[in-house]
Amino acid sequence: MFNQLTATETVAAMGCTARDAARKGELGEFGRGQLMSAYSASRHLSVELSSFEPELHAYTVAVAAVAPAAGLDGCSDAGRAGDLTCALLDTLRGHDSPAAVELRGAIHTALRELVDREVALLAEAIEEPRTR
Amino acid sequence: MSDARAGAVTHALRDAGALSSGEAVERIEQIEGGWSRHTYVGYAPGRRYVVRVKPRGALLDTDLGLEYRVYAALEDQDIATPHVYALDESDDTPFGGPFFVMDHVDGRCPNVFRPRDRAFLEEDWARERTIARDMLDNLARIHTIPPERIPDGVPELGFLGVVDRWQSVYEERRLMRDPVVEEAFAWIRERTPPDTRPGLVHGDYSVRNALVADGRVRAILDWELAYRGDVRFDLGYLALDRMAGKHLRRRSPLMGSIADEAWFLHGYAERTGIAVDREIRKTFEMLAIMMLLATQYTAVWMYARGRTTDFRMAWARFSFPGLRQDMVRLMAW
Repeated sequence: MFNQLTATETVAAMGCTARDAARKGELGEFGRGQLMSAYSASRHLSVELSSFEPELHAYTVAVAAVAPAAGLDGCSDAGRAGDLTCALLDTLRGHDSPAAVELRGAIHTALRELVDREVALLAEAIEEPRTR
Repeated sequence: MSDARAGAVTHALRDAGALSSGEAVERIEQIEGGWSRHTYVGYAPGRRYVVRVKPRGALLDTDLGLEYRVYAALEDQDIATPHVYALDESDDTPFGGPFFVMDHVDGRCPNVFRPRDRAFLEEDWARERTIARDMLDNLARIHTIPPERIPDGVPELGFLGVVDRWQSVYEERRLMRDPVVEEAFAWIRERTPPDTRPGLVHGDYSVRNALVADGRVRAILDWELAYRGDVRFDLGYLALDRMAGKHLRRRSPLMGSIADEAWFLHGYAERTGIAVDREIRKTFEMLAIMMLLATQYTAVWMYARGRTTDFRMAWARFSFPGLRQDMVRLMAW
């Protein structure tokens, strides 16, 4: 979810790869490898674009419920959600009051659920036998 | 260009006394390799050599000369490594960077992400266990090399020095913040082991970096991340789900795709005197994930900054979900 390069940037990168392959004409091993990587990226990205938005929403709702001042309510951008979560955790780290520990634990739980959902969605689509 | 490269390798081998004045490397072919090193095979009549090159814009800025000296130091240590002949450290070579030449060793590095390679390794485990035993024996020998035999220049890194190293890469190369990664750095800083097991750390020890032929490990390769430090790092690395074929799901039941974990750790303890409990191993697994993440962050950063057009570097962004899940599990969230 907090993956480097946005979906938009990744699509652009895939396009550049396809263009470079087309310009080369005959592909060698490296060129074929580049196109296979781009194909793999398309499979991952299709899951991300079709499935991740509700997962991010569920995460931001969960964290906003326990930390309303963190600014995550209504946040729909993964990068922004990552920044806000990091800022929140920065304030909690090193504080051992019961309230801080409990809040940090609640955020960890929400992150774990988000992480597991992301992997499960990708794995269902990518690591199951393909039909085409 | 190929003539100039063959000429450079011929010149280096003649200087090393490995080729006479009448012999020459006639052909150079690039083979599939990693991101920080390019690998070539040089063909001379009746012989083959391997050329390792640090290209411009390599993923990790590691010292090729040091890697060469590590290979040279290991030759009489009963560790499976190829003989090295020559090193050219100039940046302006026909290969586009410094290079060294070593013996070609027959064999293939298993790819733990390929089902048929995992099946091959699982069959070795189920039957002769020669690959598993060779991986165990070589690791134990690496970790028990006398300190005076480790070449000068191999960096020395304490536990927190290693953490600092990888956290600085995260801070410098990330394109967006990751709360799981940042919590993981905080977590590991609170888990400095109470003792140290110093020695030579390979830094990337797995069957993926082992040449296997006829059921035996013929050479341990890829020493560019080697350092003097706590050798238990290599065990943590080998124990990662990623070394058991995980991109999104772990694929092999075997540690490192090669052996039962209890068998391997028991054998390691017998050979080295180093017993590694579960909590210590979790710490070093996390440290190993941080090393892997550093390479992935760097790869994506290089693509985003236009330092490379190799799409595999951009693809590295898809490696984060699986590694993030591994971190969450280690932290027991």
